[in-house]
Amino acid sequence: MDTLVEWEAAGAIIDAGGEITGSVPVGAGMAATVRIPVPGTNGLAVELTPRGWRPRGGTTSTLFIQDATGRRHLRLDYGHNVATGRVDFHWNQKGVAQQFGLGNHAPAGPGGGALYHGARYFRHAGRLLMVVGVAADTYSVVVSDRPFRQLAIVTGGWAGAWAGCKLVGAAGAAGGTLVKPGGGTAVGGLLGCLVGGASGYWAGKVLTTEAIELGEEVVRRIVEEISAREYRDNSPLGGPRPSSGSAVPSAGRAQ
Amino acid sequence: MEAITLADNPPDPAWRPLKLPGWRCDHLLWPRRADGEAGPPAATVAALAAALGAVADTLFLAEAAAAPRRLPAPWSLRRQGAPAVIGLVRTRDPALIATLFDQPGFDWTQRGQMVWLFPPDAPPCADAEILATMEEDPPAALPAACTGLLRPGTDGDFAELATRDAALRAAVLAALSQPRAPTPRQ
Repeated sequence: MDTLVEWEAAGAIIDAGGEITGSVPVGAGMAATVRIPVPGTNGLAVELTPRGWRPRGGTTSTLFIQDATGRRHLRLDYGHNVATGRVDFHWNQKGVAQQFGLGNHAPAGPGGGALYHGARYFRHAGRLLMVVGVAADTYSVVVSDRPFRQLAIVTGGWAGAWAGCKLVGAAGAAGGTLVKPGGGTAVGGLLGCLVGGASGYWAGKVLTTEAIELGEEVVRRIVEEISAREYRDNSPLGGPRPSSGSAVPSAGRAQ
Repeated sequence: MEAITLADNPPDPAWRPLKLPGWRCDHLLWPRRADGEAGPPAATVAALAAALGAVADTLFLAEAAAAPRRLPAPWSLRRQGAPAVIGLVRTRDPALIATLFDQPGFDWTQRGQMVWLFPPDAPPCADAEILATMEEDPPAALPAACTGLLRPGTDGDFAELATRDAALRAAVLAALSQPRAPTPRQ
């Protein structure tokens, strides 16, 4: 692995080769921004922002399991609850009661507050870490002595992160639903995406690097073979070069 | 409980009402749905749609693909989740009015809907006036020809009816107290 940045004073995010690694920020960023599918729910996905227009006052919810338009959704909300007459943490749902077994305005329970605040902080932190990851990778491309190669590698990393988030996140969401529909779905999906995104990023970069090096090796061997043939053809020991378009055997030509 | 009841104060103490000179706010309440779903029950939707259609031209936000009128959303509304093109429906048909409670991209239960009321002979209002209404919460400006505004309350569990025309207010309230029309298609 090329050493792209000599950054001795850096902390744990520097790998043995001296390259800034973006697994953690990319993984967290993916979880904060990517739609994490929930299997078997006809298009629902875990997200940290609502779908559809809402007025400037915004939403009082921080966690959403929703379809692409927001028409069907389960969201974790805080505010006046018409069912209890109090201000509390509660689930609001529309069209997904069968999937999660939660009625509209169902109280979120003891962990609801922690999940509500955790989702909000994770959304902000994840986006910030995503920016850090993008900046780090951009820097690695700019300072690289082979920028196009490095660009291909980081692109492979981001593609791997996206795929890892989707796959492992979906598995996490499915597993979380078995434990606790609704809250468990969201936690499993987000954690799965974080792990899958980070590992997918690493795997994507490794695979892309391997593919590039394999390609470079193939090209190198082809060039070597061509050079060797030209040498044989032009060598005094091999006799005159045959005329173009015909292979004329020459007596005494070395093979 | 009746399909719709009238209240001076909203059930949510933190609700921020419309505050424009000359406008009066009432609050329409209804029972929770027995099936545990969000949004007003079918009887409430039918009563409200029939009442609004009987007294005014109703303009509401809709999915652009099926809407007769479309306007491009500015970046400020796109940041609030609006689609690139906002659809608008202006009608007095109760069956169409009832669909405002379930429009993709403009979810009533997340306060993503807005209903403007106009006199039957009012001309179409400009796009800029519609967009200006959507910029602030509660709205800081309304179209000049608009005489009423219906906004979803917290979680869509009630509605704020704002009127600047006493006759319109009386007509709407009278229409709400009439026997309900047949349940419209939704």
